[in-house]
Amino acid sequence: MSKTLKKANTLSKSFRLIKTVGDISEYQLKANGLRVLYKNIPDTGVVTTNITYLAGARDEQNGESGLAHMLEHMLFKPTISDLNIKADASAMRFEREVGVVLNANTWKDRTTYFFSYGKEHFKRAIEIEADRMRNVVLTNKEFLPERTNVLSEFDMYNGDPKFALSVALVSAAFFSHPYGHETIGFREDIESYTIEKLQLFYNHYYRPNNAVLMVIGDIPLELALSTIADSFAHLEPEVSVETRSHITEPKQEGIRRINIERPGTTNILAIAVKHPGFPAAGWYETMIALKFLTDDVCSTLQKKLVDTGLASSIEVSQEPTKDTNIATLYITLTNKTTHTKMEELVLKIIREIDLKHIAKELPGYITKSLASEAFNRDSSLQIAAELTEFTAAGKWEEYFSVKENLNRITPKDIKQRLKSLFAEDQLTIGIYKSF
Amino acid sequence: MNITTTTEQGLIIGRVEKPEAETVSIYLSAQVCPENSPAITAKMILFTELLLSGTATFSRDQIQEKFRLLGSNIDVSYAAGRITLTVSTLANKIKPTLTLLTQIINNPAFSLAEIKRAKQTLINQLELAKEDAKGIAHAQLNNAFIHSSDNRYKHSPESLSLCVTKISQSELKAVHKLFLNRQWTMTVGGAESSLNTVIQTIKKIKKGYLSEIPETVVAALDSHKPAQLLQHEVKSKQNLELSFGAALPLNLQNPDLAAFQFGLAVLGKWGGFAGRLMSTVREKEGLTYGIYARTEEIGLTATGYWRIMSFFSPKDVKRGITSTLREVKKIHEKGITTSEWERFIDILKTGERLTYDSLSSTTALVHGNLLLGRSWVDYQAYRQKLYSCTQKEVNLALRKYLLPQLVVISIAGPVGKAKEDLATLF
Repeated sequence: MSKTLKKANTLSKSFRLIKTVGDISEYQLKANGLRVLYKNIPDTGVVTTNITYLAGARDEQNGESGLAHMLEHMLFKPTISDLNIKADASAMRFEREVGVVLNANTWKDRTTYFFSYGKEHFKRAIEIEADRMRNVVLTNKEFLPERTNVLSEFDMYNGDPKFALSVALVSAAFFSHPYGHETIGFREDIESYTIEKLQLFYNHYYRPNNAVLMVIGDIPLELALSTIADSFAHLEPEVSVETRSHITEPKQEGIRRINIERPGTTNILAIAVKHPGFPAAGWYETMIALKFLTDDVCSTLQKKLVDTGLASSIEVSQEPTKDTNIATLYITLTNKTTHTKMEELVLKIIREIDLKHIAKELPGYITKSLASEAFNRDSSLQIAAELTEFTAAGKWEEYFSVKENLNRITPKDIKQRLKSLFAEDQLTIGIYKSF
Repeated sequence: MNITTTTEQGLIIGRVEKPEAETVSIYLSAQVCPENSPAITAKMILFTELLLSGTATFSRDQIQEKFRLLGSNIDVSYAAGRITLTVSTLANKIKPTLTLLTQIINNPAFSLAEIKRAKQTLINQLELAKEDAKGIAHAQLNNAFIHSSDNRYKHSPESLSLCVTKISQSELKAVHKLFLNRQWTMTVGGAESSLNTVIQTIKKIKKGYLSEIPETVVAALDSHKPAQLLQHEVKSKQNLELSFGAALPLNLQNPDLAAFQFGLAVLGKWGGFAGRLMSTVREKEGLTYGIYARTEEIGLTATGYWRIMSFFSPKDVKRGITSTLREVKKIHEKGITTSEWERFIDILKTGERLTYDSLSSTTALVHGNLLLGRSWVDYQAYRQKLYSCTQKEVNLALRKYLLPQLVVISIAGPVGKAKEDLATLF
């Protein structure tokens, strides 16, 4: 059979082409709905595969916060086939025998696993992902030590005042929407997980029709698709997983406040603002507005707070989540001011920013963001990581619209965005005080 | 990618050429200080801030605005006696970016107003560093082996703060003069035309200056320093940050180095899950989230130390330390297995290959080697030596240099919570 004919057969028999945008094509495995995003980068000898499950912290029940992240850890434990040969988990062996780069991460809307490796290992990578999608054996023997690791990870984050603030801020900012807890969960919840809870979550969400497999790198299309079909086609889909309920957060009707006091020397004021989900125009406007405030040493707040010695640092966090979320300014105070005075000053500075100043500075922040995009796409691993966020938001094709989205932002958009983000009745304020 | 390193007109140059690359990364370093003290380090850090704080023509704000409008980034840092400028830009903005870079290098203003501002900012940043438990644990270990006059010594935020206010404008100008007249090491990653443009510009800047190489005095490390426990209280943290290690009488020219680094990778390969410490202390015993090992501060002629980095909760710290030391002892006594030896040849080869998937990572790798005094050819030879180490050579190196009885343990964090457990360790 000629190569062209074989390619056509694999495609028509096993996959349907959903769409092609730029140099990325989306296919769907007919047998079970698994979606595949394929991008060819020839002559590098390297491939990155990344499987993203559309299940994350938002899909957890009360009292089970962090369960998605705990399960992520368990996917590095043995599957039935590993146990049959009395071996360690196949994913771990893949690293320990070949040296692949591997890891995973869980976020609000998704959980992602990736490998980066020499192209000759493509089949092995795909077989491992297919195997651990359904066949990890969840037992207390594997789970209990791993839970201790997760608690250790929790304590690592929790030692950071900004993380402690973030936990309290999201809880205060969301009454109903499941973005109201951090991805790692609460320590008390982690301590109460059971194998049964993990198994239920695994059985429901780890299904081919709830996953997107990205193949980025030096591998021909026909080989990629035929290997994927061979490994994944037998896996059963779960029909009910496709309907994730939409939750509308109740309207905020006033400023919300949280306080944390711990021993130490750090004092932080955190100001959390609500912004539209990713990758809406409002998400990009928020990004640029926050860069305008904090991005470099001559940004508005850096000049007025750090250069004057009132703050020792200013940081900002904004997540590319599908739904409305909070972005947070963290201002570390020096002993020259108080939390109350700093809050008044910051909000006053933001209120007084005029359109003329924005118009002068805006082109620079847009250009800088566009240049960052080019650096963020420097390797197959980075491309997959960025594409993941668009995929989790349900719009992978927007990966190609970043330039357009940024270039259409006007000074008026930023002025209006700052006004709506920092409207006082929409804020959540956090105070971290050391004693 | 096509990679070459050369020395031209006193400049050490690394070229990482990737056809049609849209981005350009530039590293430019000069070994400025032959020795160290809190006053010298404070002066150098302040200099890095002021180099970007205005030129004869442009104010600090104007420089930042111009870089922003080009979409370019510039950063200046100081470590171990060396000043490094890092620039990243798009290939189609390389010329105006280099025009700005030339201004910054040739004509920094060091205005009194900017010096005053930068001093205040630096003092505030040093205050924050007092809470950096991980950094403190590493610095304590580093300083257990390295003399305070050696430029690899890490001075405390407290001692640096005391020196910042005393630095004068003329001292900063003198640092600038030194920087201009020291030998520069430069690495550029990008498309061929970008590389040529950058290298020509830097050569042009350097033309009127000397290329002096300072006589850096590196004190010999005491490779028989006795085991000890170093503690620093940082109350705000939940975990105890640890750095374990011992002095290592090896430099880049020593034939045993490759075998030792191979063995250390088996013990705790940096990043990922492949090392023994990850599979035992983390996976089997559940005592930490991450535990890795590597050599530190080794140079062409300078010896350094090996280090294991991890963290434990106060209640697990005794078990964590005991398990870690057990693994050190085990690999020292019994060495690596044949299976580990075979696997790690592949693991190390793959690690190198994956680096080349990224232009910026490759550029950083080449520059890091040039700073160590290692050309690309030398580095390739070293990698081949690493891949051709025999199991016997690795085990001999571990037996000779990874000495459990000399391990210094440095801890920073809420040590008060583990006081009793820690008291029983030594």
